[in-house]
Amino acid sequence: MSTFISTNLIPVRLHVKKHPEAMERFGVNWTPTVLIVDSDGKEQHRIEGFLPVDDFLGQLQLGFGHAQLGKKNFADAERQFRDVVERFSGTDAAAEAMYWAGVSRYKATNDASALKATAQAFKDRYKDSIWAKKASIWG
Amino acid sequence: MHASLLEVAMATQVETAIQFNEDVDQALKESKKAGKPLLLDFTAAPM
Repeated sequence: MSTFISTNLIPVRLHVKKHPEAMERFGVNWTPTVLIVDSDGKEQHRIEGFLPVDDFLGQLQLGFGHAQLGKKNFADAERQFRDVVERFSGTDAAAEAMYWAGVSRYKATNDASALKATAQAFKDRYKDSIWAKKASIWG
Repeated sequence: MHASLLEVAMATQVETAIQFNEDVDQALKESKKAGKPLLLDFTAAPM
């Protein structure tokens, strides 16, 4: 995990009592909260509350994928999302990542078949997830 | 107790390997230079 964070992110730790202004600035009302924020200070992903290790790591990489998507680095975003699906397949992050991988592919190619393929994929995996419902309009 | 990032780090025995900043604006400047997003870890755990 430390390698992933050190390689891909600028880590900042903010204690609620020492940095109440940061809580206000980013609309944080509870801990633990972890945000992935772009270099303009715009929030890209939010993780609130405790999560088991794999769930947390999946969410962290999902957030990094969202940061890439926000920068229009579509190929990198898709790579991150697909990696979440494979490495953290048993977590809630996986279904969300599969959805956004499809979106990233579509944005990279402007080919709507990427969305249709994603909708089809949800018929095999994570079909009871909210992300399958969201993708169902594509297929 | 901040459970997510801190506990994961402790569980994987890498806490000391992560160098946390405490200044958001300085980190944002670093973020622009490095082309990396920020990870903001809000905690109530003793630091």
